Amino acid sequence: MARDRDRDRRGSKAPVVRRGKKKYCQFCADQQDYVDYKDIALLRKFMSDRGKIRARRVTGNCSQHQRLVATAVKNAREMALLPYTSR
Amino acid sequence: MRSYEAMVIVDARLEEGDIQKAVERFTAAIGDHGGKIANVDRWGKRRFAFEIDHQHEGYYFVTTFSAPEPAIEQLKRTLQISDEFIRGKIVRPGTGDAGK
Repeated sequence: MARDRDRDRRGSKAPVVRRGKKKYCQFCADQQDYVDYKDIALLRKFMSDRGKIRARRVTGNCSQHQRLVATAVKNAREMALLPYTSR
Repeated sequence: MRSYEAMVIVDARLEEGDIQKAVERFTAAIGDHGGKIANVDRWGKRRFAFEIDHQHEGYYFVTTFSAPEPAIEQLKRTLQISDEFIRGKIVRPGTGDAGK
């Protein structure tokens, strides 16, 4: 039973293993090496409702593409295409 | 010569004719500095994601062009000085770098 297992774990240092769906970098899969700052619909997918850039562990992007997404979002913000924040 | 892409926001409070003149002034400036325009994409009036200088919308246009490197500094200067341009951004397409 799940409950018993939780109880057994109490006090022990054994890490909780959480396996979800394996994430993959969407841009690597599409072999894109550029993220356009004008493509707002795409960039919105990597932002929270509050307008913050989603973390890599959430989006599953590789570090290279996450960086491109981040700069693209920042460029779009400068041009008032995307919000800096939205309460 | 390198290829660049500029996005410019023109003050939407201007008359339609004045907006078009402002667009032409910028494209002409590219030509004056030895650049060559490949395409001008007029997005038209668009709402800002946030307020800029107490305004809620602006006239956007995007132009792709090739120009010698020193021209970019000059173009950025024109964008900053002129009142009709609210904001502008020059990037190298394919790299995402700011015009360098």
